[in-house]
Amino acid sequence: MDAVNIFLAEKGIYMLTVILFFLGMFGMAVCGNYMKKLICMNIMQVAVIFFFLCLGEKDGGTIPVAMEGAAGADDYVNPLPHALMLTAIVVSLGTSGVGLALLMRIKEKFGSIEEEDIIEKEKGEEADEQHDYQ
Amino acid sequence: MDILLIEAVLLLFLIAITIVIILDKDLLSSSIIYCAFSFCAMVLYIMVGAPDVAFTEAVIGVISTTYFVVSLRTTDRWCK
Amino acid sequence: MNGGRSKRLREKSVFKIVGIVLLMVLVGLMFTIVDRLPVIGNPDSAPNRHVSDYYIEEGPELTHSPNLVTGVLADFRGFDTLLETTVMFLAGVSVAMILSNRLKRHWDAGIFRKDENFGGFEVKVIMPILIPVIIVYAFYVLMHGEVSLGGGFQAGALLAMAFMLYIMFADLGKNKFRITQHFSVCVAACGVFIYFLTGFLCMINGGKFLEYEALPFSAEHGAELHATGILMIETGVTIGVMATIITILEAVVERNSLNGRS
Repeated sequence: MDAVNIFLAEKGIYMLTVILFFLGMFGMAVCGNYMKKLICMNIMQVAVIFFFLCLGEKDGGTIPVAMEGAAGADDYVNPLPHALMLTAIVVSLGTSGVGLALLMRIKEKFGSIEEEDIIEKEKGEEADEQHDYQ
Repeated sequence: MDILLIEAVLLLFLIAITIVIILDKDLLSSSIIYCAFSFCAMVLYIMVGAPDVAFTEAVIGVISTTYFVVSLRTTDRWCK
Repeated sequence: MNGGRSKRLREKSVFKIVGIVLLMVLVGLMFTIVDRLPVIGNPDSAPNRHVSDYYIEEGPELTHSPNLVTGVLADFRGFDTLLETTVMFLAGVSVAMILSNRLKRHWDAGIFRKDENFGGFEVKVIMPILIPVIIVYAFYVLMHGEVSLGGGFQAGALLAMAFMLYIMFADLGKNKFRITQHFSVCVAACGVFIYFLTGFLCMINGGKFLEYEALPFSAEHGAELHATGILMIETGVTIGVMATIITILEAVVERNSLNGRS
């Protein structure tokens, strides 16, 4: 049990976080649908935030709200990554909102949100323009 | 049970949910499963010792899922 | 035609296999670097030194707030939070600009949603009890953000969630209480303005920007003014976040109605 704990503390948790991040990136690159790419972007964001938060863990530390009786710096979990990640989560919500607004306009203009259909339609428009000039 | 073991189990849950989201063809069910993903991430943040971040993730996860579901009305529900 | 389709399927599976191979190579590369990261749980590692000790030990006295995260977010790093609120506001402005339609003038009374509502009799009885509870809880989280967990971002998102619940079940044809995307973008601007105003109030009284000890209110000790300053900026953050979330929701729903798919 101790060997498992030591392995997890040194490498295991980081390895699982890396797998989650690259799975999200793989989904973003391979899926042809734009909405699924947005969802995979949010998955990558959760992996990064968890990585930040687990760097601030301390053995035997409690949550960063000041209590009477515990005054040393070793008794509280590091509060600095928490403050940075709080704003990161809220800003990612704004990013998703803007992405979805752009998706709705793309759907109205091109008729679908699949990558292949949009590429074919753009090729068709380019071929039409070249025809007009000739 | 040590905390690190619970964290590892939760991370395995998250990886399994990610694989389901990538392989699914129905965008509506992918959005609902994304809500479950957000919930697992919230429990993970509590285990690490960040209840402020967990509170924020809980609220923002619900709002983000609602955005995805509402914008499915204009875009298609099924992907190829 | 058939030959083209099977060629596309073969290309797509080739892409997927190349993707999986690249994924394994990258993951393997990262596994070899993971050795250099600090051990989890070690209080002596590099992120836990240098400045966090000062925040933990001097934080509750200097900022008069037992919640260390709010103290760091709103007092030690208040300038960061100001710019993050501005970024949220800009996201709301972008969505309102992308999704509004000047040709159809949909900010007149033209947009209406269909009469069929979500839920039956039970929902219409429970929701008017639940929504005021959520609003009161949001105000509690805002005011109590310094002493226990909470803060401005959470309170703003909770208020926006109460508004979302209201939209889902109310009969919107009869109600006069409408919030359009153009109105809520202006409300978000007011939230950011309150944040800037707090900073300038400190400058007027002879201090630096966002130096809470120079606020023009009277208090017994200097540290109590920190609590007042934190409350003012959290109010600004709450209004900004709530209005941005409502803006994005209303923009998407109005565009749905315009396209005829309400």
